[in-house]
Order: sequence, then structure tokens, then C-alpha cells
Amino acid sequence: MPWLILLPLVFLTSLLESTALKEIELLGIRPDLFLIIAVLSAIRLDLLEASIASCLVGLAKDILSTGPLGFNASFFIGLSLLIGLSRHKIYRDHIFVQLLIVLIASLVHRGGYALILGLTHGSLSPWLLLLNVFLGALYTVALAPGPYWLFKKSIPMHPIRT
Amino acid sequence: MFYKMRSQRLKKRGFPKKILLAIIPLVICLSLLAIPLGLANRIKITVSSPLKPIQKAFLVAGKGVKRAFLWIPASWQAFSRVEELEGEVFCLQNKVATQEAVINRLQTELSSVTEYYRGVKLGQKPLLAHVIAYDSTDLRRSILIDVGSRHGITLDSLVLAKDALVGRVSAVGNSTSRVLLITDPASRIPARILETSDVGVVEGGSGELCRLKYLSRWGSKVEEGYKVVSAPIGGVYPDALFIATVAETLEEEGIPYKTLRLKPRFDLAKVDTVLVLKKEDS
Repeated sequence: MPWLILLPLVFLTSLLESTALKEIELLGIRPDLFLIIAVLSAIRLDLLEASIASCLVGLAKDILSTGPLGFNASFFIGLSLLIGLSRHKIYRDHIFVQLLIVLIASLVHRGGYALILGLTHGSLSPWLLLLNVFLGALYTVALAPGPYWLFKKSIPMHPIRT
Repeated sequence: MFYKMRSQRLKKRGFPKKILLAIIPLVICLSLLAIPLGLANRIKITVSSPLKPIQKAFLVAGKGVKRAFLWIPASWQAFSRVEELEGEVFCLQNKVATQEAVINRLQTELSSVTEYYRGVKLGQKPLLAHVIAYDSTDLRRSILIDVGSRHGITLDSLVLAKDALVGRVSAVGNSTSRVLLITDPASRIPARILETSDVGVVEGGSGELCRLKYLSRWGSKVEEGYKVVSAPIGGVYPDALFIATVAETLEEEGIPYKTLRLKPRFDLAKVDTVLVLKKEDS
């Protein structure tokens, strides 16, 4: 059942991220819908399902960008494993908790990517990278309530085994 | 004994098996990182090729929606300020005349640069292409265009817009190609300043601007507005293809070379039609 929602959602996100989202960018920064889907899947789905969903989302992002193939996919799977294994410790039902997880994940993802780019390409300005990390993470969180609502309505929360 | 009991209990719950299964995609994706860049680019472009018509439609739709959103508040305001605007029309007409003069000057400038390299044999045929998608990562700058190997595009084909260098083809599919823009951090272009002939390397800075690095600190004095053109070093770029103009000189202490900040003539992220220079032998 979740795949009936997730697969079209990943497809639609891929199209939006590579085309129409360009129209709503702020200072050249766009929200990362792929990350939102990966995080929300990790929170709501079973560990294995979340891992596969994150893999698909990450690969879609990798295919539509210039970076190395597998970078985002590996990060998203690692993220979903981390969330999946620690979700019994967090109160995951509340929207603010989920948005906070999206914010932290976005900061780590953007920060890591900026660090790698900064180290490999010396011409990047540190201020530009910092702006991208923080503004991008906030912009991503600002758009997260939409997908959160969609996930809440369509994908039931996987129960935690005790 | 304790560990045995614990592992039996965990096994009974099936937890480690699930973790192991969940790690398999991670191992697969990490192994993808080891694929050579050329092959990875080929895979990416092949997989994203079927999306071409839908991406085109989404791009048009996105622009249309944005225009509509901008038009609604603008028309509402214009309706209430119609008399005020009528008064401004006269002033704007004068400004248009001034702008026309500026455009004429710029066109003369542009044609002079164009004439400069028209005489040089580029060995490449131009092909018009449309932008169908952008890079999905913020810090990278690349575009997807609707021509590929079927149209004679090869790797490292040059891409131009408004007679200025936009980038080079970094991955070629059957009917689409990815163009690495000159503002991408991975872009390196041998270049020289037209006015002084000082040679350096243009590097992308991920934003709208790029940099001309490795210029001699004791070289000629460079002023704002000087033109930077490509240099034929390395054989990828032809001589004297316009890249950008000098916006600022960055004086950094303790570095033996000088760096200039360059401004492309237009925002590369907003370009929607480009000219790809096909190599003659392709």
C-alpha cells in the first residue's frame, strides 16, 4: 500500500525538483523535497521499507544532479537506518518532532555536501556555503508540512516492536 | 550465557535479520560510488532520458504558474494605480529611449567581440537546443538540454548563449545531454583577459559569479569591465570565446597569484535556449 503512494510521489518530486522548483528558489537555493520524503518514510515505514524508499529517493536525486552516483542514496539510507533504529526513543507522532528531524537531517546533509564541495573545489566561498546550508535547511523545513500531511493521510505509522 | 540468551531473544524477534536486509541497499549504493565518472554519467543520462517530454511540460507549466502568480497581484495593484501609472508612462518612454541607446552600444560591443572570434576557425557547427531541466542539487550548476548523440553531440562539445560561453557537455545521452555550466564548482576553463592577454583559469563558484584564478600578481593592472575570453590551452576550448567581464579584483594576502571575480553577461541559471557547437568530425 505505501508503495502506491511513494512511487508516484518520488516520480513527481523528481520532476518538480529538476524543473518547476527552479521558479521558487531564494538566492539560488531550493527546498529539498527528496530529503523530506526520505525522512518521513523513515519515520513512518518499517526499517526495510524505509531503507528501500530512501534508496529510490536518493538514486532519483543522484540521477538528476551532477554529483557522483550513489552519494545521496547512501546518505539517505544511512539516515533512514539511523531514524529507524532510534525511533522508539522519540515521540514521533507530533508534527514538530518530525519537522525537527527534517531540519537536523537537512543541516547534516547540506553541511556534509558543502564540506565535501568546499574541500574538493577551493573556489567556493565559505559564506555562500553557510548561507546555502542554513537557508536551504530552513526552506526545506518550511515546505515539509505539505508532505507531512500527505504521509499522515495516506501512509499509516508502522508500530514499534517492544 | 547472557550473550547467547540475548542473541537468541533478538533472533526470535527477527530484528537483526531486518537490519541486515535494510543494510543491503546501503552496500549497493556505496558500491555505486566506485563506478567511474564517465560510466556513472552515462547511466544517469540514459535513465533520465525518458523523462524528457514530461520535464519539458513541467518546465513550461512551472513558468506559467509563476507568471500567473506574479500577474494576479500585479494586475490588482495596477488596477488601483492606473491613473498614477499613466503619469509615469511619459517618464518611462524617455527611459526606454535611454535604454535603447545603451542597447545599441552593447550590441556594437557584442558584435565587435563576435567579429573577433568569427575570423577564428572554430571547427564546430552550431545546433540550437532547449533547456529541459536543471540540477537537483543547490550547490551544483548544470542543465539538461534536449539534444544528444543522435543529433551529433559529443562529450566536451561547447555550449553558448548570446555569443558567450555557457559551459561544456559533460554527459551525452541518446536525445539529451547534461551541460556543466561555467559557474559549477567543478568547471575549469583556460582563459585570458582580452585587454591585457594575461592567462589564468576560470573556476565556477556555485553562485551567479565565477573567478579567474592563477593570474600573476605582478601582471598588468586589470580594471572592472575588462573582457575575459577562452584560451586554446588543452584543446577543449577555442581561442577568444567570450566568457564574462571582470567585476572585482580580490586581493588576498600571502597568495602568489591574483584572483578576479567575474560576472557572466546574463544569469546562466535562467537561460532557456542555447547553442551547442558540434565538432566537425562528429
